[in-house]
Amino acid sequence: MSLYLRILLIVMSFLAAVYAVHQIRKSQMKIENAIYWFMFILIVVVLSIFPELAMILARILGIESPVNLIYLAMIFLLLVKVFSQSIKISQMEYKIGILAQESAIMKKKAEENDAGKMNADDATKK
Amino acid sequence: MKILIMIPAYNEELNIERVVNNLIENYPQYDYVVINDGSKDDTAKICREKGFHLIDLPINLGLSGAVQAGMRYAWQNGYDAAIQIDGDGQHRPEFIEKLAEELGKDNAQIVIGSRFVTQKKPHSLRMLGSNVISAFIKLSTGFRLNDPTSGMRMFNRDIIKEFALNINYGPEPDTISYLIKKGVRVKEVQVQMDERVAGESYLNFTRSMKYMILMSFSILFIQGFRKR
Repeated sequence: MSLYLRILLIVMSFLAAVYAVHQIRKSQMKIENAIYWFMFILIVVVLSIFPELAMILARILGIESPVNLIYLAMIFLLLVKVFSQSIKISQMEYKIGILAQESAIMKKKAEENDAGKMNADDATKK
Repeated sequence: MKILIMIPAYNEELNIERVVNNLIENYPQYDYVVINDGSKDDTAKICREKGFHLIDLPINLGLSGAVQAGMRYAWQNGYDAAIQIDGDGQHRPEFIEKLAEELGKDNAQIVIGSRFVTQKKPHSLRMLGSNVISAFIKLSTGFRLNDPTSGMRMFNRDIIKEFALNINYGPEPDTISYLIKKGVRVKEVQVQMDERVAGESYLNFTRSMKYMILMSFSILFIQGFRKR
């Protein structure tokens, strides 16, 4: 791994961490969702600071260049994230459906109640 | 002082009736509300049949969402204090009075029903987790919280408003740690807790591990950056 790449990775990680903290401060992000990204950043930073770690891991896995190990790790982590996001989105779609149904049913009940009251009013007028 | 007891309940059909009946019969001076967090069992049905006060969430929001619903209800209905009591009956309502007495004393805005103020922590895996969280809170805030994972917490109206209207206010130790850091006075009161009588605890081993990692990371690295 070249020194420039290492510096680039560390700088980008630092910027990403600042941005994530900024989002939390602005109340835009749930902490439990931010933790994944902090872990991600941590891994990238550790591998950039200690390239020997990446080399050892690359040798074990039979990958020629440690840089490729970093790419592989990133792709893997992102795939895991995308997959779990897919699951989460499905759950959210389902929950929004339930909410819409519940609110529509409630509206119907409220309308029935109003109609019932009006009929009762009419009856007393006559 | 108008106090609301919030009872978040997820699949507590075996416990809810006993817990609420105890409140109605022996502690009529407090208002209560059950928040059914989209249970798959008959929790909501039992509450309706018995005429319990019920907020019935149509979907499962998780504990923090359920407690936030209770906080919103407390905020909208002008309660001076709200206390969280678990739906499984672990928390004894007899201690609510003691907690309420301490609320407002020395400006205490949050009072926690703690198992370990005067009594020693037993040695178990769960208590090891509790100790770790305690240590991290001490490190982050300088404040010694003996029972950070106790769910029996009472909040005054200002704190109710914060919980009701903001993101990242889960009823968990990291939020308490953050509030302490921001100058909120927290007090612990010795209480006794019972073991769960029936039903299953939500916390299994994997969930406990996840919880520990989330709480540790959040307390140590994230809460310090938040603004209030």
